[in-house]
Amino acid sequence: MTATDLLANGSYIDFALFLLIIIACLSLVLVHRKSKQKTEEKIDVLFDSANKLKVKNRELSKRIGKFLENNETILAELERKIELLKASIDNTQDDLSKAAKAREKETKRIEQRLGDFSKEIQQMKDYIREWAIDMEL
Amino acid sequence: MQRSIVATILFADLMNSTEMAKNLTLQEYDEMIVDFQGTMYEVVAHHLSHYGYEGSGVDYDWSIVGDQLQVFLYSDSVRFDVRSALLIAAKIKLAWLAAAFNQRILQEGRLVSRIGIGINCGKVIKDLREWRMKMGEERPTIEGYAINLAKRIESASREGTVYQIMVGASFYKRCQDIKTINIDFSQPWSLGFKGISQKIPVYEVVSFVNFEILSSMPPSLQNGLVQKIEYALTQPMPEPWLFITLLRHYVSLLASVKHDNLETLALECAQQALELLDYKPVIYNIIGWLYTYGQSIRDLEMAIHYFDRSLALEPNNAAALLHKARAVELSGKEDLSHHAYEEVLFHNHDHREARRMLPVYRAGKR
Repeated sequence: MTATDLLANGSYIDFALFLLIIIACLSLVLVHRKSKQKTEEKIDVLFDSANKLKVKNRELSKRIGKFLENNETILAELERKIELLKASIDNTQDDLSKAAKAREKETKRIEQRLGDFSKEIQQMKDYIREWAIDMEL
Repeated sequence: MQRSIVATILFADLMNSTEMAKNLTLQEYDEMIVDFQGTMYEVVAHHLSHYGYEGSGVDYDWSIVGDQLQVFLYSDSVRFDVRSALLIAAKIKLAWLAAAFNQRILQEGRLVSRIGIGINCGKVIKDLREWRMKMGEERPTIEGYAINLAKRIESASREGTVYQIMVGASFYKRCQDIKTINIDFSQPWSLGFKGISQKIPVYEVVSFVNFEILSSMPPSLQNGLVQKIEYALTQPMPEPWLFITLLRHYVSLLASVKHDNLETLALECAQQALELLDYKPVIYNIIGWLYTYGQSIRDLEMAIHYFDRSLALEPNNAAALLHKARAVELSGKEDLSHHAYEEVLFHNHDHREARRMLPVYRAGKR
């Protein structure tokens, strides 16, 4: 039965039912609209939140990036300093070993000189002793 | 540049070389001369360098021609040159005895060839002559009466009986002035020399006690040298002066290390020397020394006996006086020791040991 039939042949009940159906439909539409609006609002909120998160995430990424970058620089600097330190330690070791060798040579030289000196003293003592014997014979 | 300097002049040559030239073949004679020149070079060059002479033409000049060596020493110290000349004289005689030529003669049981030496001191002129420079020689010419005299003194050396080292009055006087050389001379011989109108006093070295004769020989000549002297002394008519040099060497060994056998050997050698040497005080002193300081042959009574014998010949013999005082002190005879040290001080007012000991005796602390 069409709407024209209803109007022509329908009873009040039919008509009331028809109205109820329309009202129901309208309320459904309204509910749907409200729900859509709410969803949209929520989506907007979510979107905003997402956007905010995105910004924060970007900032974080940037910071992490910077941090990493800084870290790399620091690491590079650290490595450079370590290398320098190593080189310096090597040099110091070389210097120390050179100094030790030089000191060893110097010590040996002094030892040699002392030995020679002691020999000379002994020779002089022997000479004096022998000369004294010469004069006492 | 012409300069007047005081030089000590030494001439040495092979004794009887003309006769040897006659008896030896030309080859043999040449071998002898080559050996002589090589030995002289070795000793003199080593001595001058060892004793710090600066250089030829600076403080010495020396040369060897044929069988003759001449040495001029003119350093700043004449005393040093006098001592050096005596050492060179003793060393060249010793080196020539040990040279291959003489060792061969010794093995054949014949008499060794000897070196006669004359030493003198005096003023000479040192001059760099133009003709020498033209010849490319930088050596100065040294001339003077002292050189002529030294050469003539050397010619008298064959008359010597002990060292055959003859010295002139000037050298003798300088030796007497130097209190640090133990040397004794014979009485002066008054000799006339060709070209010199007056007679010249000449002295022979009869004792020269010096440890450096052996110890400062060139190292190349030291090997087996003592054994060669010991062997030479077992042969007929040994050179008397060798006893003094060898005994002095034994005393050195005994003073530094204990050698029981050597003490007996030294004593035997000294007794043999007494038979051959006319000048005996030094041998008596050495025997006394051996009896005083020897370990195995120590006998203080014998030591005092030998010092007394030395003093009987030379009452002023400083070594005998000192050792007698020590030996008497060691034997515990205080009065005699006191007296002996007083004797030492009487002859030498500055004698340290006597000056130290006498107050102790006077205080009665012994």
